[in-house]
Amino acid sequence: MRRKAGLILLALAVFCTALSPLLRWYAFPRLAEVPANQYQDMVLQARNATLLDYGTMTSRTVPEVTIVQTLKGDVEAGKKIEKSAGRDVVVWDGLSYVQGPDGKMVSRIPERYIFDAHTQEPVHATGESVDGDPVRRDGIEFKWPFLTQKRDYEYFDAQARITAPIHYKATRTFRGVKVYHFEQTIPWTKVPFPKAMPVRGITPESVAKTGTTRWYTTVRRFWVEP
Amino acid sequence: MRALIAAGIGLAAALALVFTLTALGAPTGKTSPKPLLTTVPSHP
Repeated sequence: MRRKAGLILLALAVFCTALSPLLRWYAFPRLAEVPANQYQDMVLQARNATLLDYGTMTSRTVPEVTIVQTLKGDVEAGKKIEKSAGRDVVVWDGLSYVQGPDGKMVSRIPERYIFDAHTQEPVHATGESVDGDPVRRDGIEFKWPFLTQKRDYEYFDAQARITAPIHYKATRTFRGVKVYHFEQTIPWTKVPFPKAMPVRGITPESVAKTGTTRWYTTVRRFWVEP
Repeated sequence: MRALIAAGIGLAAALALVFTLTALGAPTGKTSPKPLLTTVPSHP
C-alpha cells in the first residue's frame, strides 16, 4: 500500500514539475492573445482648452473639450486576414471623437489597426488606415505587448502618422503596483487636416488653399504594469 | 522499473494536458454590436 502511494506521489511530482515549464514556455506563447472581439471606450476631458475656429481662423479658449475614444475588434475581418497572413490576427477599428463644450463635433478620426494577436507585431494588410488614408505602422499602438520589457519600443503616432521610438525611463510604484514608465516625444510635425471638419462648407482643401498648414507635437507617457 | 513507469505516466499526463489546451486555443468570440461612440457614454 505504501509502495503504491509512493508511486502515485512520484507520478504527481513529475506531472507538476513538467507542467510548470510547459505552461510557461509552450502553452503561454500560444494561448496568450489579444481578444479579437475587444470593445472598450474611454473618455478624456481637457479643461480651459484652446480651439481653432475654422470659420474665423482665430483661436478661442473653451471651458471643456471631451474626447471619446472607442476601440472595437472586427472578428470577421481578422479571420479573413489570418488566411493570407498565416498567423492569428486582430483587427481593431478605432474612433477618436472630439466634441466641444456645446457637444458639437470638433474632429473625428477613424482608424484601423491590424496586428499579431500574440506578439502585437503590426500586420500590413489592406484597410490599415488613419482617417481614411492608408498608413504603415512599424510599431505598437494603444496597447502594450504581454510581458512588456524594460527596453525601448517603437510606437505609432496616428496624428503624425509616423512610427518613432518610445523610451523606457524608469520603474516606479503606482498605487502599490510596479510599473514601467515609457516616454515618447513627437517633435513639431506638419500633419494633414482631418477629413471631417467642424464647420459646414469648409473642407481640408479649402483651408489648405488659404495657405494654412497644421502642425502637431506631443509628449506621450505610459505607465505599464508588466 | 515501476518508478520509471510512474514517472512516465506523470510526464505523459502533463504533455497531454498542455497539448490539449493549446490545440483548443482561445475562443475568438463575435464582433460587438455596439457602435463606435460619438457621444459620452453613461457612467457604468
